[in-house]
Amino acid sequence: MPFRRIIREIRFTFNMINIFYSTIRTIILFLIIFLLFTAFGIPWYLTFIPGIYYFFRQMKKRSKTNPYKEIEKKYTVLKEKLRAAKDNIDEGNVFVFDLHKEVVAAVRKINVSSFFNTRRALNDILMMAFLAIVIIVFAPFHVQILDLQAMTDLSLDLGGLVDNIGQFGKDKLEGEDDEGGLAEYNDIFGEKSVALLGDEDMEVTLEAANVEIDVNDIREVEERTFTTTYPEEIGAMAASAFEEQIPKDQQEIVKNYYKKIATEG
Amino acid sequence: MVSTEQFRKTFEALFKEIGKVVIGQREVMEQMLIAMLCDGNALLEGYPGLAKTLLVKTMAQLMDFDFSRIQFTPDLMPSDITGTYVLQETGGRRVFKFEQGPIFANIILADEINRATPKTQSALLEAMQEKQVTVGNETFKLDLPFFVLATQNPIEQEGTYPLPEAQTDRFLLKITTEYPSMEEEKAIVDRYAETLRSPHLRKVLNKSSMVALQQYTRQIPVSKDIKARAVKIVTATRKGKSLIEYGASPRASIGLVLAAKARALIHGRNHVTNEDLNSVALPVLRHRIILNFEAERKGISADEAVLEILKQVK
Repeated sequence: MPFRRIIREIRFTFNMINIFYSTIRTIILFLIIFLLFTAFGIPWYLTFIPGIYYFFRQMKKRSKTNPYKEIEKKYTVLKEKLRAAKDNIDEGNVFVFDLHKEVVAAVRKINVSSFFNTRRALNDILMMAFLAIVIIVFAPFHVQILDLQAMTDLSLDLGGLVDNIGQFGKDKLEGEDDEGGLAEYNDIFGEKSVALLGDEDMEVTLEAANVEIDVNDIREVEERTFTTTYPEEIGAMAASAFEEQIPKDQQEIVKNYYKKIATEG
Repeated sequence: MVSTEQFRKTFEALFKEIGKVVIGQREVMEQMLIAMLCDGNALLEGYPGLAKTLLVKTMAQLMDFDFSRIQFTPDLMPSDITGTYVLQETGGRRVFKFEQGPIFANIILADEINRATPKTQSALLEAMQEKQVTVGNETFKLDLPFFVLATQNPIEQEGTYPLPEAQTDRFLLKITTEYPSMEEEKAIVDRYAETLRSPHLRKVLNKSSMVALQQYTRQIPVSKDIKARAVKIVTATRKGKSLIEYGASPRASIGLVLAAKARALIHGRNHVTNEDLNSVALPVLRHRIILNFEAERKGISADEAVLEILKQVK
């Protein structure tokens, strides 16, 4: 039945328009957030989270608009007819047939482009292009206003330190021993996270210390005493040399063999 | 297959024929026709001398309907309307025979209904609702279509029995007649002060075609949005307490949609529009709402209260 097909076409066309506008808007938002995240040192892939959220929000918002009402607004000849025809699609009487016929004839004259805001689409595409150029131009300069990621890492470290201090105080209160700086750990093998690394490579970088050398301030070398923090539990009980338990005659055979090779060779 | 254009032409012909007798009052004619198409009844309120009776009589004549006029007075008894059993002598035997009252017609003009006692009023209202009359132990079906048009005089309210709200709710529409314009009044004077000859009227409809039209009216498609708006308008009369003490019942929602359908049919449209709804909202709701003291103090009429709701409910 042509009227049913027309209703399906209207729904499909409006869905396509909604997807188009939502996608363009999402890309613009994605690019803006990408720029901001890069500038503030936030991992770029996190941009997908607000992007996807915004896309679905836009789609939900747009799906609430009634396409039939939109058509009626643009084409007054269909005013209140299209909705009446659509709402009575399953009815079968002389008025409904007549109405469907009228609506089908009127809908055929509709231009889909009239629901496509060219100016707005052009503005959005230009905005998209502008943002993309900004990103490409600034990418080689690694412009970064603030390294939020590093700040977050630092704050995490500080958090760890605070935890350790807390643990230290707790141990003190509980009357545990504090020897050689090992009391903060529960066992002699140090931090579990390091022990769990196993064969994995550990990247260690030495940070440049804020040390200034003053050539005018030359003093005598101070004798410093170092205390070991090596665990007491690990240590040699007695020294013993390794000696091979090979019989003397066999040792002689081997020795003579090498001598013979050396003289003959 | 009939088309909406054919319906429009038929109604235009009807109005043209009425126009030969009644000058102006197009809106009143249309609303009376709406009430007929909806198989409802109407209350007609207007000052004396506004051609109310003439209009109803003319319509009955054009539709080939049986017409009865009952003048309601305080001493009118229910049996004066419904009919009664009379003793008749036939062939030497005396038997009770039912003598039909004026209610056995297609169009009843109940003139000044508020002058009769509630007992008599209720006899008419029962017939309106049930389309039947019960006298003694016997029930008599009324001939279809059956349409009651009751008039009320807005002045001289002393010694009257105003219809209670529950009974006014049974009338689909309350039609108010206004004074004609200066031009219309001149035309009335010209027509009726110079000749005694009544114009020749052509019958446009008959009983069966009216019954068919009533069925067609119900088939007019309405969009869900318009139905929802009709319900919103009626519920707004119950919710808005700033002007209205008691709002309209769900019967008003049905009446509103149905009357809008009838208007669409009269105008030759195959669907109901918001304009239809707005147009019939006043006659459907004005007698179904009771204004509060504040509204009465401010001199706000029921029509103004309904118009205010129509403005709010878009």
